[in-house]
Amino acid sequence: MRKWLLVLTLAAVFFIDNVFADNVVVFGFRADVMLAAVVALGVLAGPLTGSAAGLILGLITDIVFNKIVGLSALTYMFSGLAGGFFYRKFYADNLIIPTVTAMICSFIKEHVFLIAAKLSGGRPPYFYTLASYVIPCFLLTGGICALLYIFFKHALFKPLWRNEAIKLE
Amino acid sequence: MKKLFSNKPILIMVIAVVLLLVLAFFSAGSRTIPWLENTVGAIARPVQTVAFKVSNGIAGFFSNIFNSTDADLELAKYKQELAMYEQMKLDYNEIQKENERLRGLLNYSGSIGISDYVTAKVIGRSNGVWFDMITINAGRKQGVETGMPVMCGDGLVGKVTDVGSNWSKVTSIIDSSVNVAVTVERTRDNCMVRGVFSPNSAKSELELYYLPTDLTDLVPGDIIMTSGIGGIYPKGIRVGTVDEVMLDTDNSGVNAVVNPSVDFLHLEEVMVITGFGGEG
Repeated sequence: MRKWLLVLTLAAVFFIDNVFADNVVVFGFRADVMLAAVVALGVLAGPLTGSAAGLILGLITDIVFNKIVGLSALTYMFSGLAGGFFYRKFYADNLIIPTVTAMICSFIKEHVFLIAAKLSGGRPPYFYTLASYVIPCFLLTGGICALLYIFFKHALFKPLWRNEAIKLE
Repeated sequence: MKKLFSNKPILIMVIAVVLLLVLAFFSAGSRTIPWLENTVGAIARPVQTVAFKVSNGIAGFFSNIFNSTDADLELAKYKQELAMYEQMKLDYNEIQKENERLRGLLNYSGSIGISDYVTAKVIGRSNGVWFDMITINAGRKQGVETGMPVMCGDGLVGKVTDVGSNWSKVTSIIDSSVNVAVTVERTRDNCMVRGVFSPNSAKSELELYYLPTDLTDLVPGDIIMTSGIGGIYPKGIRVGTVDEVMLDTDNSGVNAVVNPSVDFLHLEEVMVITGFGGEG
């Protein structure tokens, strides 16, 4: 695995998700690029790498940008773990597994944040939020995860893929 | 259970989950940031400042391209020898704009009688839509404390909720958990505004509620400003203008939709009012 390239890619993902995304809001929706990356990484590199990347990226995000420290770290860590659950359990060309995993993780993450917002005194209306933000967000995140999965597989895990080592164990 | 504790990865995961939950619980309110978090924030601050500038630059570049009607002519026009001149012109414009913004900020603070303040640059915004926070490059070392009100040349921005050594987090008034005591400038009615949750971060609104007088008194375009009641925000800072007046049919207490006077998406410089008692 090309470790430095991986670190650079994760830094770029962090930059896109936290700094740049606010400048390019498409119809008000933004994909959770970091979650998508963590899930794709978990599927390709295993639960330990996925959850560690999720924990580090989430914790930095929380400390620098967020109101509640630990929530992003927790959700990204579990997303990496969820992706890692499918590590070497299916054919590498299968895009459905990472896509669906990212969508489920995004759905759960947004609900965790919704509960946190409610507990902090906020009043986000559930069904309106679900229709106008959570669903578009998790669909976009799933799509981004598929793209990132392809990118990671070719750019970072190519030797493994060529040897078909990510097939059934 | 014994098997669970002998499995190291699961044990580490359980400990991490517990620690993160404890962290989340204790970090939910206003606080002074502990040393470890402060260190990470201090390390990230310069990177963050550069990243924020770069992202604004990239966004501005693409915005210019899409707004251009004759991009090809533009490209042909700019020769190699003019590149440096153009850059200087850009720098000059940027400085001029910054100067105008700071001058506006200064004039505005003077007009409402605020003399003790710290100016700061916005270096980050919270991701996602659930919380509306900004990160600024001033902290404890500059005299910033939790609870201090934050404003810009256009009006009220929010209040400081977390303070690091040279950076702070500000919860903006458009966060759905924030309530501000306000006055309708024309009628002098006291009421409250609170942030409205919006799934679109480009669109921010406030809702005005607890208006004690007849609704007919309030009309779209009325200016809303802080009342000073509660002692959190100084009196007379502009909050927004009434966009739509609504009948209180469902007893929700909402009387109007208010457009905030501050453009939170393009906020660059703010002023932390240090000379006001506040709640901190």
